[in-house]
Amino acid sequence: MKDLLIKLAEACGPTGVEDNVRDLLQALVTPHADDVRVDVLGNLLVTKKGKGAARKHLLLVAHMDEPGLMVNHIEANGFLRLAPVGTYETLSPAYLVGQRIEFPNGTKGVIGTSAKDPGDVTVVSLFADIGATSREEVLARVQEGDFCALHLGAFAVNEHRVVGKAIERSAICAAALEALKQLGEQEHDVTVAFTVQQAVGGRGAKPAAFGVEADFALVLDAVTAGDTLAASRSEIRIGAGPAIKLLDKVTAVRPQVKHFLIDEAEAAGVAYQLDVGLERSSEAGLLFAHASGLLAGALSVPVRYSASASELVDVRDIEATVALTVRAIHSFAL
Amino acid sequence: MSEWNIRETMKQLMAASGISGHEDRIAALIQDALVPFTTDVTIDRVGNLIAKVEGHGPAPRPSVLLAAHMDEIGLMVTKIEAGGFMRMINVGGVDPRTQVAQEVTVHTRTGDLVGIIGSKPPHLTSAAERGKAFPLTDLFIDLGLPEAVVREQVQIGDPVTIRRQSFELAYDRISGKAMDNRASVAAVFECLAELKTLAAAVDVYAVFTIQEERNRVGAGPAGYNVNPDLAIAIDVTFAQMPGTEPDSTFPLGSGPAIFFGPNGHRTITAGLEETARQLDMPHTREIIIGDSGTDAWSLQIQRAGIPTGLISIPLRYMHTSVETVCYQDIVNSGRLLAHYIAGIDRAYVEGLSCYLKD
Amino acid sequence: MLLKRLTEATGPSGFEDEIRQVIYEEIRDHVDRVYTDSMGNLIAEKDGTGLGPKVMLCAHMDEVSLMISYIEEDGLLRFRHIGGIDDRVLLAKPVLIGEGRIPGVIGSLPAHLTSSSDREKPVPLDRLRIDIGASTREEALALVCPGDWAVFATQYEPFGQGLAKSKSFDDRVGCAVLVEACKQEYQMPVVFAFTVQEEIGLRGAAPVAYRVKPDLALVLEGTLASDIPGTVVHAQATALGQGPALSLVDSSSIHSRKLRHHLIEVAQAQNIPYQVRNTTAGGNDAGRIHTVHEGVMTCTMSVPCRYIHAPSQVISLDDYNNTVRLTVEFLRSVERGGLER
Repeated sequence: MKDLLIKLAEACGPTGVEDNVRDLLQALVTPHADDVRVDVLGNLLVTKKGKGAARKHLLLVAHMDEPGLMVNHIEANGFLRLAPVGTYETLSPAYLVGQRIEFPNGTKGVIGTSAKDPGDVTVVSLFADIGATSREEVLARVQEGDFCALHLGAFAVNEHRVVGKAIERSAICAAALEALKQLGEQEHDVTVAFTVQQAVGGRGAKPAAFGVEADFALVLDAVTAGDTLAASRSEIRIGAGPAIKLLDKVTAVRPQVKHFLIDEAEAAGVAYQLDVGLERSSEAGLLFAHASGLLAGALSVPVRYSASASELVDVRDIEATVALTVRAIHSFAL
Repeated sequence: MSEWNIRETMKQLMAASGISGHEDRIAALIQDALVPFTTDVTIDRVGNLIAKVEGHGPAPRPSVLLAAHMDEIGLMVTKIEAGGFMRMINVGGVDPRTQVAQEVTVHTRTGDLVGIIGSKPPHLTSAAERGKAFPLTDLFIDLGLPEAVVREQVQIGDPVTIRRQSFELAYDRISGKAMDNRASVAAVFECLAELKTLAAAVDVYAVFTIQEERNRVGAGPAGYNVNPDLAIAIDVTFAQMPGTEPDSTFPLGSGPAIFFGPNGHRTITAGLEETARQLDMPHTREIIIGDSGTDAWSLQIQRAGIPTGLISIPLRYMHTSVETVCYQDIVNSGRLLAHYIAGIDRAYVEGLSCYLKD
Repeated sequence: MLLKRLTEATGPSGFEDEIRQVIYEEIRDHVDRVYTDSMGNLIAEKDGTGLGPKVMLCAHMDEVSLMISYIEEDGLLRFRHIGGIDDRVLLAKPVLIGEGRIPGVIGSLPAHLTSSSDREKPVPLDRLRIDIGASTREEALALVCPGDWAVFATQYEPFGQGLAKSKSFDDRVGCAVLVEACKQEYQMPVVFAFTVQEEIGLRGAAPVAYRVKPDLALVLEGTLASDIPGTVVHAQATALGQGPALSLVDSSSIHSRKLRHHLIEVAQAQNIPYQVRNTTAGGNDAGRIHTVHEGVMTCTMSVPCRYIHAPSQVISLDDYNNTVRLTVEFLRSVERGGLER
């Protein structure tokens, strides 16, 4: 699990250009699926048929993207101008200064700023240096409209905990992949939707679900842990198991879904937490309210230092999320 | 069904609890109250209650969806602290200033518990402190129980509702919590009661939606699934009182406020206004340019679009425990809907998509 | 002159009647069918002769404008915005109210009677009034009423060198591109969708896309051009005279790279100038189209407009003509099989 997590974290998959991550997942998932396809927007949809006579269709959702930066202008002298896409739009741009970036084609660079003080850094003052000295030299490798993500190695800090960029999506995708592998023979049809563009408002999830006609969606997500020295009202801790989502920015989870997931966790002896955070809007809320509506719940892996270059996760939380997911799929009878 | 019974039903619904996401109890009460009108009642997969009242005459008949949200604002337990005191968050637009010293009910899996939202006594506060409102994060719920008992009975995520009996005030006013949106639920009942006397050739889907107070998420699936020929949402709007602007508030007793603006179909607006005039009924026009702030916003764009209207009942002290309406406004809203519906036929419905002049 | 007819027609969000009728009369003889839906979106279809992907071109008919909200005792009119308008552009501008085009002016206290500190602050919306010449509420009600809309009283005129000014190039210029494009013949089915209520939340586009179910969609817009003093090049969004602007990312979409690269290939092959829209600000109908059904490949192409959402907008007529050319050449390329599915 740690190796998979590190591989996924180091892959370059900025929101909108998730190709590299999708290719990686597609190779790993194909042996365990009956049907694999990629839709118009780039969602990877993987279906495993069930054996039951009265089977339902369950959707497991895991997003593949991480926050990214787009090249919106190439200067004559070879520097690039960048605009944040997704989560970074809400962070202070000073945070990005000095960070290393990577494009899906492997081109790498560093971010600088023309501002003198950290307090004066604006998006407009940022630029990227990929070592090119002219616009022509850049264009051989990067165009306007290309996306990059942070470039950082991921590593284990101890036996159970891993640090890296894009740890959230990596934990989520690793959990979905592992759950699919561990399913064995199951009663219901299961489709895993590895979605695109979660960071810009869940634009991939709705079209992905529309074609599936599922009876229930379980979204795998991440939740910010509040157990560091930073002041926080959040009760979420890493190492205490997946957080069952009760409420997010958009919707409240139906009581029968909440009770189903809690009951399954308790019966399986899986430690769990309860997430009443209002800061995030998850794909579960979006799918709940979309088109004909969908019964939806979410399990969130606790992550420290969310949306930073160094997110931290406990692998045991991912394993517990997998265990609860597999159990929920087998027991589903709502 | 006499007006008196619907009024009592409304008060029963106000006394019951159903915060956004936890509407099941309210749905059960509404289903019971619907029995004189229909037993064709379903709950869709997101929890909306859909009651079909068939019209008269041969099928196929035009269909109208009436949407009144059945959720109310409230709170949710987020943390249990030392001493058994509990922290909470908003579910919907609760004003923390109105929560101080409020009695509440905490709905646990095993039963309801009474609590009080507490704060520091005045003797221990400075004048500067008393000059600032309490943010919700500084308030807590006191159940009067030992910590161990609280931890056993209460779970994070348990819903909390305001505990307030309704009061009949003078001049046909009623005050209480959750008048937003029980008033509209009552208006739908008044409409169904009036429809019984009219023999309309229209199928009416009375839909009681979930989670309107949080992003209007129930109405979309309701509209998508029922796919009616037209929809009308019923909600509440701001009644006039000191400090309000004259162009966006409505006196209590001035009847239904009929919506005018891009979120509503102009023919439906005109039809409602014409019906009100024919009935010699007091009514006003509520003009809003963008989002009406109601279920109408989600309904209008479902599938290939649903022609949508909106009427609102004037209400004072919105999102507090003493929300106040004039009951006659509710009766009039119901009557207006019924008579408008009775005038709908297939040609009318088809005309709603005709905009070109040859 | 098409741009003059389209930009001078009235069509506030939710009240697009006049512009819809003008467009209808322009296109009715060039399409196989044309109809409206319940929101008032105008949809025109050309069936073509053979197979091919179903392409939808889309432009919005509505313009930013004002709405009369209240009539004061003294006959002056209070108003609110329809769509996003910076209040600072409103001061001292003329408007036309309602179908009767009643003239009014947005006035304020003269500078002579304003304190120097107040002159440094914008006049807030709730202190602006439209004056139609009435002295009492009754006099005003004889001519207008609350709920009436008002548009800027700007006339279309050629401007500078090869430029034009008018109100609402956003998005009547997009509508004009669609009208020109629909006068050509195509093999594959092409749908021309003129949407409503884009300016108040991209409202018309999703119901249209749901109904039409296109295989791919191209949105034609009038977009911001900040090639003016005080903006650095990489934050200008677009510049006049550099050709149609292809969107990369905005607040509502990450536009299809595949479609954009194809547009660039076509532009290069046909020697049509083009630029990229380098800002991520602003949203448009593409945001609601690309997530409909199981997803639609969508991108936006725009004519640069200076002073967008203000009474006098400016475009380059070369940019407009090049946008029409690129749109038509793009359609021809797609129907020749140029875009792999």
